[in-house]
Amino acid sequence: MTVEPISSTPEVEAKVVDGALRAIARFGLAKLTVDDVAREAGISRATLYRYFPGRGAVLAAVVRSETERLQRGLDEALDETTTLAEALAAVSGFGARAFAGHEALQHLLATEPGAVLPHLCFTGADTLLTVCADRIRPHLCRFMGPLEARRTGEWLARIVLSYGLAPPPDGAIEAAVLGVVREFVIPAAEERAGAADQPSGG
Amino acid sequence: MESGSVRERVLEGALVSIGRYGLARTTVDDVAQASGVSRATIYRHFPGGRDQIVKDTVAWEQGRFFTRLGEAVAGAPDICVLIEDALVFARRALAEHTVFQRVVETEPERLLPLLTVESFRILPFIAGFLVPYLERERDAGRLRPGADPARTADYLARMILSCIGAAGVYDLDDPAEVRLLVREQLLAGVLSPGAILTPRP
Repeated sequence: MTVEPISSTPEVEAKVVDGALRAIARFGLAKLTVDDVAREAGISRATLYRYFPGRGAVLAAVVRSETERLQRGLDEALDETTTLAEALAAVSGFGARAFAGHEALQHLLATEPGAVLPHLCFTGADTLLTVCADRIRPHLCRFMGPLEARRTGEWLARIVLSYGLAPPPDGAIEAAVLGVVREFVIPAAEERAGAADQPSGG
Repeated sequence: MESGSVRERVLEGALVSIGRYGLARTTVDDVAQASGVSRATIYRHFPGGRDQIVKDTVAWEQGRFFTRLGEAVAGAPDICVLIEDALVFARRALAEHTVFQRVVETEPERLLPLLTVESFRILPFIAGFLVPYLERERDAGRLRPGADPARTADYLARMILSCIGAAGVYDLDDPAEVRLLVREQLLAGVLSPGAILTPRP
């Protein structure tokens, strides 16, 4: 007798991922158990184990799902933008909200910083910034060459990361990020884009 | 008794011990041995014991790192050169800092929370260092109109600290890329369009 292998259905996976994020936001990562996730997801332990062999598989699904969710969020944030200034503000505003409003991430930064900071500092930051740069680049290619689009995307990610890790005194990360992007990034980017449109002048 | 120098000897010894045994396994006895200061005296200076010594050593060494960085670049003629020199110096000094390299590799989960807390002291330190340079640029009419030196310094300090820690998509071992980063990204939004003097590479 053969047993049909069960593949994770999108609905169960979505429930488990949401449950895991809520559980992390409540209990942190170190003490997180599969039982916590099942309870938060509103499914039985047995069902969860049918789809996910263990805690590691759940966390891998969380990372995969969050990556896709962020990509969709970035695409949506840029959907309505028509000018370079709007696009740069949309990317950085989205990034700041994604960082500051991520309850699981914020809980870990406050209670188990050692679990997340390796992914956000030094070589972890190198990887993260490069990934962000490559994801943002296609959206900025409407306005500038691909190399500069990549560098500009990286710069926005740097700004978000800096204010996310060391929030301003009033705690308003998104306002701080948008403030410096409007003051220190957009005018220079617009000038460069303008100069590139008229290669003979200047 | 010069308590300043005893404290420094303990911190110096703790740095050596951390390089040898790591943050988690360094003990007060290790520090006593490495510094030649008795356990009793160490506890007088560090009532919190081991954990306080480790925390204070990271803060002290981070402070020394940025003080040396400030001294190394203080003679720069303008803010472009200042920041280029600072990035080159800091990245090399960090790469050559064997204790840092070892600990960030083996115990990032212990080191990084300490460094991140300290960054709230380091950012104002870097910003304070930059303000007079920015005021000079403003007085020479080279800052963008409306740019406030203090606010600008805070932004630059953050981005400098970010670039020291992570090169991202830049190759910051290449002086041409450092120049590109500083002149076309970092300072392009701070200085007036005509004020970035050196020709593009």
